[in-house]
Amino acid sequence: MTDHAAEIDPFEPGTLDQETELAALTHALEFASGFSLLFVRCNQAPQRRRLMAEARARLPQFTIQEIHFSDPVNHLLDALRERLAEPLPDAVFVSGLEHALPGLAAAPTTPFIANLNASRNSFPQIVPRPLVLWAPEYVLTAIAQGAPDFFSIRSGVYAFAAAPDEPAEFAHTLSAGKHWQAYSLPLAEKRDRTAAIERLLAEYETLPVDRRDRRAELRLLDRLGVLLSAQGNYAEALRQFQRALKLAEELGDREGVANFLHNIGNLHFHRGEYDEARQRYEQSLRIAEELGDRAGVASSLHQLGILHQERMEYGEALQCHEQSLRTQEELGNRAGVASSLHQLGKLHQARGEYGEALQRYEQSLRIAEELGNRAGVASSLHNIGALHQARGEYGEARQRYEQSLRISEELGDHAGIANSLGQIGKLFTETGRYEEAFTPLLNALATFLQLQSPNARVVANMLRTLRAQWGEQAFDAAWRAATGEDAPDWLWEASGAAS
Amino acid sequence: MAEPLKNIYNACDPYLPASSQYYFDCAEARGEAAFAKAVRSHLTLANDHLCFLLSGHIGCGKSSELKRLELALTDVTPTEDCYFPVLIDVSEYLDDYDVSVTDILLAIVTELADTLRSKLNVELKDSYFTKRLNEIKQYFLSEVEINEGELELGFAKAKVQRLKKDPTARQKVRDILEPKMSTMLEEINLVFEEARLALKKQPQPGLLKQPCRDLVIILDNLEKIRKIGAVEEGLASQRELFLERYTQLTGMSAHFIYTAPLRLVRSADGPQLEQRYGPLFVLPMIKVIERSTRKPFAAGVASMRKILEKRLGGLKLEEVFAAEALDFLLAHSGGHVRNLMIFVQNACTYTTALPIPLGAAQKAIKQTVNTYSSSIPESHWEKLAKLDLSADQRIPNGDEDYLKMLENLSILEYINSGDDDVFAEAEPWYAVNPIVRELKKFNEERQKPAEAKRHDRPRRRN
Repeated sequence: MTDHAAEIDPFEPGTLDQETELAALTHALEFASGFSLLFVRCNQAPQRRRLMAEARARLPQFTIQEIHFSDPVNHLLDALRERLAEPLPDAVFVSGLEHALPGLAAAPTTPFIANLNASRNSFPQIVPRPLVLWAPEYVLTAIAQGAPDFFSIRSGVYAFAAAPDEPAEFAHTLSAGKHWQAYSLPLAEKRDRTAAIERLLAEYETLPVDRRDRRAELRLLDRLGVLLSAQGNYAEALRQFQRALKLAEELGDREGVANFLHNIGNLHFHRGEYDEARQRYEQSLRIAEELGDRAGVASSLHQLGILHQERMEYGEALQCHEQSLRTQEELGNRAGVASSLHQLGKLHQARGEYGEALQRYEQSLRIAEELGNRAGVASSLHNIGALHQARGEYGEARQRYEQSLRISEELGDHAGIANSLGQIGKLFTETGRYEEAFTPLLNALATFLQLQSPNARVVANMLRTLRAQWGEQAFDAAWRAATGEDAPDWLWEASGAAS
Repeated sequence: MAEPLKNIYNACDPYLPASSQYYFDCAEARGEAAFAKAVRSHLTLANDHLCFLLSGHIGCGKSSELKRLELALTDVTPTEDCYFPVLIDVSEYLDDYDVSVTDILLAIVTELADTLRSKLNVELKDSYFTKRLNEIKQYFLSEVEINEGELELGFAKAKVQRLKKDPTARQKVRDILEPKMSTMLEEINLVFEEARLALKKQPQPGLLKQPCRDLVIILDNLEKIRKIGAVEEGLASQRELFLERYTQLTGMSAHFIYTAPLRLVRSADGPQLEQRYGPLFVLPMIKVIERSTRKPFAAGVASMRKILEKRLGGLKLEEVFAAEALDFLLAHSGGHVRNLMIFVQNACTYTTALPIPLGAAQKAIKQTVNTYSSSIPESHWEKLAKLDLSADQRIPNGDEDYLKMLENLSILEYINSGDDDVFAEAEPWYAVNPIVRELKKFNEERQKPAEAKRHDRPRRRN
């Protein structure tokens, strides 16, 4: 690995790669003598647990006390005073502060923020150790705004890529469409824009009927839906797209109708509701054909191809993807071409045609690299890894998964991270390294459950396999050690065909 | 290699005010006469007791200057007057979100007695205030302590500080003391008289070089008060304390220095404050750029370098920083010392070897970029751009948004200096924090007004 790798733009809001931030955080912990206040920005619980474990692993000589609040804490210093271990640990990790702050707007008036600012001078006496507050972005913002004196004595704010962005697979399939830029916006900006659009919409709606601009409202609903799905808020996105669909129908906007049907299909697809998804894609396809909208036809076919593939209807899937590929090539849509190649790779892989599959993935990877489509690169790497794994080339496979994982982490793509972790866990299981398999699988499961992804079932199956091979006793002990409770029963219920 | 990095990291702790080891006088670069010197010359000339206000941004160096002053008041040549300083960190006594004037008065008297006892072995014999103390002690002493007999003033500090943590006891103490406010002030003045007398009887060998002329009571962190009584939190409460209750703050017979919130000092009430208190000092940023041209201001940059160099444990700046890394950090500090310290700490964590490379400096700054880009309220961007484009770099009087920006450091205050016109009054001017200036949103906003002006033109012709 080269050290002088990428040049960074210090003024572009965003996060550095995980390795850089972890190394810096570790240094800060090693350097500090006595009290020092560090913040870690990390939006997701599984990621936080993983990073904490990683930080521990890097500081084996350190005793680190983890204090997690699962209820609102009004006075952090008092709460810490009660919980600090004797003798004092070398560092204290605190998480769960978000329970004290329901939202940003009300933050300045919460006792948590007021007490934080007022008690700042007592922290060094009570906690004469590095104190690391692990918190989501909005909590940090609330502290910076509401408790400026407390915030001004910080020694560092280390940030790890933000919040549930899109799963790699979804971003990749969408990259052919016109909205893919929305997915690469930083989280704060997505939120800002969402709020701005909601305000505008509300204003339009208060106008008298004769002065409303329905076209403008339709455009706004479209943007809103895209931004919401880019933030992982699928339920709300679905609601907005359905409003938009209704409006487009009222206005007789056929192109709009096709577009919203497609977007609604994507949301169903993402939640594993494949029948509903297929229905929407087919409706959208029919309209696109009527309108002679070739790009629209290609993206519907692409999605339908994926659905066929899910049902192992390989012939139909192949037909869809090849047709879609031809159209994208003719239209000169490189991102679309890469997407189709990727899907063809998956198809060949599913049929055991590994040479063909590898070729497609590598073509797709090259295009994604050229376009700077990082999510696409991660996705291709992941699949190339899976291909090697299927051929028993475990070293190669692991290398690809780890490359893919690094990119997903950079992008804050939680589904992508969980995909890689799941595969890494499966790989360890297959090679008999059960203990190493456990944590990645557990984290993958937690993330997928949080995202309400059908992949949770896949990972649950992997965990069942692990338990069978490792032995129930060892597995159950590991589960208790990691979660503090027994594995839930539903995990052992046969859960269908997903493998 | 980790060892020097570790030392630098700890020497740059943003939490600690500069000790004498780290203090560097950057008055010239700040554009003001040295604070300690100015205070001293006021004291020398004054016939009556003075009441100074000191203000400035969070982390601009107020506490460092006050610590410096504390030393300077007793460290005198034989021809100079000596003053006995009592430096009170009011955060040790007060709950910022629930303060009354009696809490402050209690803090003043107990800290004075404690300082006299610990520094000069002087026990105040005062009976009036001791009596008051014994009327309220049941609320902050344990039964065992109460049975130990009378609570002496010189030993009350740690015990009175317990009130900070105990709102119920605090309220009971106030219920007793507040009706007696006016007599309490007289009693405190008697305590001061006794203290002064004790000081005149000095020196004892090794303690003070010569007898002290008077007391200087310094209250640091008073600007952090957020709420007084039932008054609304924030600016309204600060107004209540510094303006409405000023007779109490200025009614004591000793020299006083209070730290006041910059937001209040620069508000529409600023002139009132100057009327009611003695001299007002605002500690500006160290001027690292010229007003309007934004060219580097050599003297300021040099001071910042000196401040840093003092913390490098004997290493030279060139040994610790790659040249471009140092320039980058200094330029983006805006002359704000605590920010610079945070930057340096962060940069230390992004490198494994000295000198610290530019990449590590950029990564360090990125942390602050993220903070600003997510925490600046939407409504501020336009005004930030407006200030940046203005010719005189001043802010409209009493504009709440700008006052808020002063508080959260998105704009920084400077004082003119080093310009050609030596007769120019030292007047404050403001610049957008150099990190905020780099943000995309700021620059988008900065482009806008020019277009708006073009649209305006035709209309003006009518």
